[in-house]
Amino acid sequence: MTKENLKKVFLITFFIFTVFSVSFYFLGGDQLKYRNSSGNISMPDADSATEEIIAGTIVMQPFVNRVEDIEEMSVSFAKLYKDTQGKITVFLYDNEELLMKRTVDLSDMNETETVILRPDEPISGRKGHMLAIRIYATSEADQGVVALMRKDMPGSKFMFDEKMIDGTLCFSLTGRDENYLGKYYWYIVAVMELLLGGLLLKSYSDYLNNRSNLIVRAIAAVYHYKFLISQLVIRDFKSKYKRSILGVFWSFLNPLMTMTVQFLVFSTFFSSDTKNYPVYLLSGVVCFSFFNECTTMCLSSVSGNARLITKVYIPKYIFPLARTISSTVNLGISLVPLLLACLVLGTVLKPQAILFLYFVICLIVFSLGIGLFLSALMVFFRDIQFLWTVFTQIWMYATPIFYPAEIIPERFKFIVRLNPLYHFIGNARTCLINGISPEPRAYIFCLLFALVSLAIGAYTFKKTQDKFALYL
Amino acid sequence: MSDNMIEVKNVTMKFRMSDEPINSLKEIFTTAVSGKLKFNEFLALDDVSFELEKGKTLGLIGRNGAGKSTMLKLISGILKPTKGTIITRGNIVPMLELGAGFDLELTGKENIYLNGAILGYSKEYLESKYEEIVEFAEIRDFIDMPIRNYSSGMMARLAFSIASVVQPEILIVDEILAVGDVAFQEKSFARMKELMTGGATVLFVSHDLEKIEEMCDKVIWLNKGKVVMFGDTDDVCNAYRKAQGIKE
Repeated sequence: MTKENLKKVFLITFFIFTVFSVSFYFLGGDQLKYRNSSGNISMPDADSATEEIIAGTIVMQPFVNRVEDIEEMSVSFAKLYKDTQGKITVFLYDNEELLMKRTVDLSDMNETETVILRPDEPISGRKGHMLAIRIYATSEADQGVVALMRKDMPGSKFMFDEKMIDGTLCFSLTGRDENYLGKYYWYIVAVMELLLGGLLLKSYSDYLNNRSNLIVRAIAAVYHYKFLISQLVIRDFKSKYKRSILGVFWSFLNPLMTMTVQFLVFSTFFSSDTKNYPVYLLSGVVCFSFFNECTTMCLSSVSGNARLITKVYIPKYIFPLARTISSTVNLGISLVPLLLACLVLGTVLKPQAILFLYFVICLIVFSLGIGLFLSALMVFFRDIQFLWTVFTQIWMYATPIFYPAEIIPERFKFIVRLNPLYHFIGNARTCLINGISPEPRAYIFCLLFALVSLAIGAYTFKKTQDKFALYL
Repeated sequence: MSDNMIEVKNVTMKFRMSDEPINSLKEIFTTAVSGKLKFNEFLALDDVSFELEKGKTLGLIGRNGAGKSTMLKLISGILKPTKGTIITRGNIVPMLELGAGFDLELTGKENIYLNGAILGYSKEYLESKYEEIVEFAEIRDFIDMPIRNYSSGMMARLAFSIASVVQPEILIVDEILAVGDVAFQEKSFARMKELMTGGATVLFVSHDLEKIEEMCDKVIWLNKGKVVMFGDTDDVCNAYRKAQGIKE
């Protein structure tokens, strides 16, 4: 590696980071600036109805608002099978200030009807305020007009015709909260650019002054071993497809065939709940096959090259790294059928779809970490290869690949949330299928999962690699 | 900076050998529970120190199991010593076992690149030496054939040709590798000699005392992991001959 090489790598790194940060601002869209409010009130399941409201009755439901920008409110009514005439009006008040209202004619209402109120602009600046829903009815005859749905709720009360009644009206409130990451986006980017620039400059000066520097050493190692790595990757491919008639074409066919089989088996169960089920399935299959192939190949990478490791000096991490790169090339090839499927099955690829590469890269780093860990473990405990086969099976079923994440019962949701593969695959799908960027938190979580895995893998490998030659 | 290309200081190498190889979880578990997990320590090298200046050739002699190969593996970085330090300056080419990285499914040409990469050559260097390798190995007609179809002699010739195109600063040789038929053996011996006298610092293990005397500037005599004698070639070789009861 020369001075020019290092300079080039650093400049490219800085340039890519800048391009990514700027384009992410535009691709991120509303998800970058806002997120679903944590103070949303969802519609409760009604267990009874109130008395009928007659003209002139005022119903008032007070509640504490925890939403920053209110976008929608709804209230549930029941007509109780009466053919009554009249109108009802729903108001939202902050003390005496009217925030929004809507009047509905009863003849337009179904037996049970949810009246939805949407402000023209999101109502903001009311977080922490005591708001009140008021409902008022008018009718020509002095008779019962309509009833409200209610639900028992300890400690909650509402006012019905100047009487306090236990329970709550059935209403919902949804909105968004501002995302601080989005609000201060350019400041955060500027700070990160400064940190990155400083780090690169420091590394460069370390290099010029012959001081040891982890980053410089890593780049030097890449330069030094790139030819070896490329040869090992080529070897993996050639020996994998040697003597098969279709050769590399199998990398296309495999995910397609797996998807077809799973589609035939599962489509009747799941395709109705899932948007664009074939693409959903194929993206999951491609990602999980990569993870499975990469970790399984890494597992045997050190023990399988025992002859080399005990005869020639090569940094041992080269072997799992080369296997990860071959799997990545394979993944790249199998992305082609995925994109084809998107086009054929009518998924409109928005610019945001490109963001899915971020989650794929996180998945690759994550798999490399696991691969390093497994390859080191395999030297000492050969049983791990059989355990791992079982473990990946369990992991596959625990990850929403062919079923939608929504069908998991609430009490098991935590398992899915702890599953890094769910995050990588789920977010990649959001970008690809829905064409929107996940919220910024998802990017940070996925990066953390990947880096923690890599750190654990690299640490285990480094600690044990000196003993490899003795156990192989 | 000193002129020493290799510095070995108080190096001790212990192998833990269990009576039977234990390398599965179940075995570890059952032996640990039954209290049978015992390791026999085997001292392959015991407090060995020496230095080697640039351009010199050092011979290692001793009976089987004296620790010669362990020493070579330690210096080439394949093993790490239990105690002590080893400092080497410059690129090391170990000619311990040839063709360790051959892949039988690949062609001769592909294997030249793969094996060259494993030995640490750069792409440009291999490309410039490719013709020389093929020519020396005398396998031009078979170069695009998977090497599983090669005879063992062809494979050995190819391996030797790849390994010997280097210009190493430190060359580590475990016996002079004479492979192939008589004609090729002569050719390869000449090539080895050329390499070893071509300015490189050489570490050379052999059971052939005549070759040691011919090539080496200094000799170490190892016995059961300990240095018996370290000095000029003639002195050490004569002492060794006496101890082995070999007539001069």
